[in-house]
Order: sequence, then C-alpha cells, then structure tokens
Amino acid sequence: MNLTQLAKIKTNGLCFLMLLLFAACENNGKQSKLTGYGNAVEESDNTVVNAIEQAKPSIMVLPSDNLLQSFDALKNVSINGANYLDRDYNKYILENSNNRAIISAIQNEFVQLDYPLTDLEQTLKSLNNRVATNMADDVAQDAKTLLLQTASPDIIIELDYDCKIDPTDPNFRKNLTYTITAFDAYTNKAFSSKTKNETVSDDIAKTFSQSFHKSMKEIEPEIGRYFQNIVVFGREITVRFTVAKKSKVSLVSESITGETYADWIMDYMDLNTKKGTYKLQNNTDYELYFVNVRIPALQSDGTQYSAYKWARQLIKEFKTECGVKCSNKVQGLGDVHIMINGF
Amino acid sequence: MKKKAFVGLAVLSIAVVCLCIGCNSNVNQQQQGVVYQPQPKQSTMTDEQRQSAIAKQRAALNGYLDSINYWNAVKLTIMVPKVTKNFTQQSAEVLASRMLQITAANGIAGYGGDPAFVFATLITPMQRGITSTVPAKKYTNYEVNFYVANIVTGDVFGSLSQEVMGVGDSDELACLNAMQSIQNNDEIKDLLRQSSEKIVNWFETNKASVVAKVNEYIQIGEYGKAYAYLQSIPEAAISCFAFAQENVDEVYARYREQQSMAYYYAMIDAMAVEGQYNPMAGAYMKLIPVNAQIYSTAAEAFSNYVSHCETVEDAQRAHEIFMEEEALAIERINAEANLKANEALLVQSRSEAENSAQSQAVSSMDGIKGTITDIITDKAVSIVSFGIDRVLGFLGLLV
Repeated sequence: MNLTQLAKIKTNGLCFLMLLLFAACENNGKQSKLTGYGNAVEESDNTVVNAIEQAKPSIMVLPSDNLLQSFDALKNVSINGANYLDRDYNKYILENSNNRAIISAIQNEFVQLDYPLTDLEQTLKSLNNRVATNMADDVAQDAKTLLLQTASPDIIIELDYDCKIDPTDPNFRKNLTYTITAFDAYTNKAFSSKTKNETVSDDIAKTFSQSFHKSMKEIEPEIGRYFQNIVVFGREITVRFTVAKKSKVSLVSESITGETYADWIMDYMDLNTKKGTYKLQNNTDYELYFVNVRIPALQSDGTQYSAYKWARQLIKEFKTECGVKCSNKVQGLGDVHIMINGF
Repeated sequence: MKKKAFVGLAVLSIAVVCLCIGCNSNVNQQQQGVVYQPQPKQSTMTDEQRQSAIAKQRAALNGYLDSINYWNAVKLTIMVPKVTKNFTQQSAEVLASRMLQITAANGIAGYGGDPAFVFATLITPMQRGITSTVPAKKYTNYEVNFYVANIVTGDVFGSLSQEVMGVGDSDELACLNAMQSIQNNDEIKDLLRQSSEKIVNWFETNKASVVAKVNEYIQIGEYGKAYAYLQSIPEAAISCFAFAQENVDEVYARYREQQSMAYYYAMIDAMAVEGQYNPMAGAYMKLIPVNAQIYSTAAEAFSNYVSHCETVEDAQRAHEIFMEEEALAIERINAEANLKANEALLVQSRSEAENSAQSQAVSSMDGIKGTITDIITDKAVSIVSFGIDRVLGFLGLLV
C-alpha cells in the first residue's frame, strides 16, 4: 500500500467519524424536545418502594384569614347566635395581581424540586365544573358528598404577607413582611414556619420571589424531615369512633366478649399502631377520639398501608369478634372516622 | 521520579477503590427497602358459584319496586309552607313537586278532591352554618313534619317527622338541595297507607254529616262544591260511596246547567276569534245542557257561526280532527270546572276551620296536637292556589 492509498483511507475514516459525530449530535438535539425522553427510563415495578411517592401528599398554598380580611374576602356571619367566617377565595385571587404572582412564586420553587403543588385557582374551577358534570350525569349525591366537594390538600402552606411604607426609610420604600407556615391537614401540626422581612425594591412579587428563593433553603430540609418522619415512625393519622343515631349500642355497651366496645378498641390500638403510638383525646359514650396515631406506611408486599386499609382491617375484626357492623368513613391520607352502626 | 509516579498511582487507586465501595454501599442501602411485590387476591368461588351469586343479587335489586298500591282512591290536597326569607318560591315548588310524586307513587288517586283532607308539610330550620373548607359551603339542617289531616275538623290522621340536610354554595341552594333530597321512603308509605285507611273509616263513620253537607250545598245552589265533595268520597267507604254514586250525576248536571250561562258567554268569546272554525266554540256548545234556558239561544248563535265561518268546508273536511280537539277541549273545561269547585271548597273549608271552635282545641287520632292550627292558618298555602294553568300543566291537559 503506498502513501496515497494510506492518505485516502485516513481521509475516508475521518469523514466517516465526522458523520457519526454529526448523527450523534443530531440525535441529542432531537431528545431535547419537551416530549423527548432524555435520560428517562420507565421504572420497573420490582424495585424498592418510596412510601412518600406511593401516597404522595398534595400540597396547596392557601391565604391566611388575616390576608383574606385585608382584601375584604373574609366576612363574619352570625347565624343563630354563633359566629362563622365566610371565606371568598375567588375574590382574594382576583382582587390584586400580586396575590396570584406570589402564589406562583411559591409554586415555582416546588416545581424546581420536582414536586408540583396543587393550584388553588384551578381546583376551584374544576370543582365548579364537577357540579355541572354531576348534574349532566345524574349522579346520586347526598349531603356528605356535597360537603366534601372541596379542595382537600394533605399539606397546607399558609401564606400571610403585609406590605407597608416604612416611615423610618428616608426614601419611603415599602416593607414586605411575610409568613409561610406548612401544616399537616389531618393533625393540624405545623412542621415548618418562616417569617421574613424585606424592603421592596421593584415590585412586591419580585421581592417576594427573591426572598422566598432564599427561604426555601431552610424550608426544604424541614419538609424533607417531615417526610422522613413518616418513613421512620409511620404515618401520623387521627382516629375517631362514633355511634350512628339508629344504633342500639354505644361505646360503653357490653360486647359478647364481656368487655365494653371502648375497651376492645383500646386493646386493638395497642396491637395495631406502630410501637403503640397513640393518644386518647376524647372519651364519651358516643365518641372516642385519638390523635398522634402512627401506622406503618407500607405493607410487607410493598403495597400502601393507607388509613382506609387500617380502618377496613379494624372493621373486619370488630365484626368477626363482636358481631358489630361499622361504616368506614376515612377521608384522604390521615382522617379516620369509623361509625358504629350496631347489629 | 519513578517513586513519585508510583505514589501518585497508589493514591489514585485507593481513591477509586473508596469511591467504588461508597457507591456499592449506597446501592446496598437502597436494596434494603421494601420491594413492590403485591400478591393478588385468591377467590374461593368457582365461576358457576360467582355467576349464581351475581344473578341472585341482581334479581334482589331489580325486583325492588316502589309498591304502588291504590290506597282506596283517597284524594289529598297538597300543602307546602308559605314563602319566607329562608324558604324561597323555588324551594316551595320543588317541595310541592316532590310531594306530588310521593302521593302519586303511593296511589293517592286523583288530585284535589275534598280540600279539607290535606297532605301538608311544615319545615323548621334547626341548624345552619358555614364550613371552613375551600370553597366554603353553607349547610342547613331541617326538621320536616308531614301531616295528613282534616283541616276543618282538626283531625290528624297521621304524622311523621324527618330530618333533612341541605348543602350548597349559598343558603338558597342549601335549602333547595334539602327539598330535593326528600324521597318516597318506607316511613312515608306507611304514613299515607295508614292515613288513607283512617280517612276511609272517617267517611264510613261520618256518613250522616257527609250527606248533610252535600244536601246543604245543593239547597243553597252551590252545585260545584257539592259535586267536588261527592267526587272526593273514596270507593272503599262503601255506604258513603254508594250515596255519592246515586247523586253525583244529577249534581253534575245541575252544576253544568248552572254554568250554562258562563259556557254561553265563553262560546261567544271563542266565536269572536277570526278566521277558521274554533273547536272551543263547539266544545262549549256541547257542554250546555239541552234543557238549559240558554240552550236555544246558544244553538242559534252556534248555527249562525258555523254557516258564516270562512272555512266551513275546511271544518267539514277536517271534521274528525275538530271532533278530537273538541273532546280535548271538553276535558279541559271539565277539569277546570272541577278545580274551580275545589278551590271554592277550599276557601269554604278554611273559612269554616278558622271560625270553628274545634280548630282551636285540636283533636287527634294519633295523639298529635298543636300543629294542625299551623296548617290551617297563614303558615300553609295550598297547591291549588298556584293557578289553574299550572295545575292543568300537571295534568297534561293544556290545549
């Protein structure tokens, strides 16, 4: 083989390599589309279960009562001598463009963490649509069903802010004070709370966005600890036992085992909560109310051990051992309500 | 130099080994979690057993029908509470409609009849409130009291109390929702069945007063009221019903004769409509009794009308169609007459009840006291007073 032939082979090889490189680049460019797969691969079922992802809590940003009042979206109504608060969330959203922008800033931070929040405005719209589609489908609805046609987030991020001119500032700039508190909707416990004070530079929404971005560095680990707490200690729920009006038994009635139904329930709680974690808050003839109840998040086969399943198991055992029928009225991730109907 | 290179290589190797151990450890940690391996439920039923159980359950559910028993042809007037700030017109109409459906489903035959016998409701708001949900919901708990009673004598033949709850985005919607939730249930069926039996019994034991009442109406020339009263006697009240059957045709004939002047003028009005032959004119003509004083005048006017009708030939060609329309018109007029008679009887009954000492001292066949006066006073309004056209709409007889 002479030098010329060698040079030809080298040139051809180089061209071929360049073509390959070009094709690779082209492929990469195509995968950068919104619907492109990127590096995503479908997760196999037979992998370790993430208990939090499996029963992912929904998080929603809601304005505080104080904030609603400042935008005239909160009314005090007196009915039969009792005072009720009538909250108009739609009015709050529409009243000021900053309101929407601030919620959007909070949502954006969570999107960056790959945890999109449930939007309040969209939820209100879809609830409205549901009313119409239910009518069109001739859906059976009782009073309870109608009462529960609401936004039911598992975690509430309560927003409160105030923006006033700082009288001590020589330029009379505005001072933005905001408080962000994260609550568990079932236990009403706050697991993260931040209050910040900022001077408004351009506009309120921009100032808030920048400030909240910094606050998120403190909030994120607190939320992370809350989720880890579920994995380590079990999911925290509230449990309520009530008696139906038509029932001929109460919680203090004697069962066929010789003990009262309330005693039976207490023994069950000892055996079926994580490390016997629960606290009896109310004890009457017609109600037992437990708080700080911990149940495992996962079953041994990797399926969810939800509050509904926990209640279902109890109801089954209650019927088997005592012959008493109950209704399972569990809502969401952590609101357990078991109603005793009798025999 | 070589020594330095050797040391550098050793450090690098150690670093790589450490990195690998670290990664491995992480992987091991992940692999210590629970793997998703659900076990499907194993059924203990064979296919045949399952199909048989499904068929059995389906038959049990489909076999359930609201029993429609013809409760002795007792007729009841429906009364709903008057419209107030907390009880809107729309809610009243929905409640009235529900009560009509309930009575129809329970075989309460006919509509109206003796307005003295009523199926009434009293609505009492018990508890109202606003939830703290997103969005907020208004809720109201009502106590609904159903009564079957004779508003003249004050006798309560049956009563029932139920609680209904309404939920909505406003107080009005919550009230409407509560009224819509009132359904025909076993308790209401029992109430209507037992009340009907008691009403039949009342007619049988009070035949003398029924006869006296009818004769009184006839004597003072109130043939419409007499007719309405006779029509309301249920078939199961055998001897009373026999009396009604003996006299109803004659009373009705006298009523029509009494109405003949009104029919004559109505016929003249129908004739005044320009253009084609108006079947209403023919209907009114047919309702004027032959022996009525105005008959000959009416017949002459009608004959004149037909001969001068622009489309006489059309009327002859479409004779059958006009006959049908006339028959329908006659039905409508009869129904209208019946309802007007009932309305008159209702006014009469109310007046008697308000004046009667008995309405103050309530008597009750069930020991229920104190509430019948609420029905016969301003708290109640009869569905009859909603308007004749609306009522005819219910009966589907609007032309």
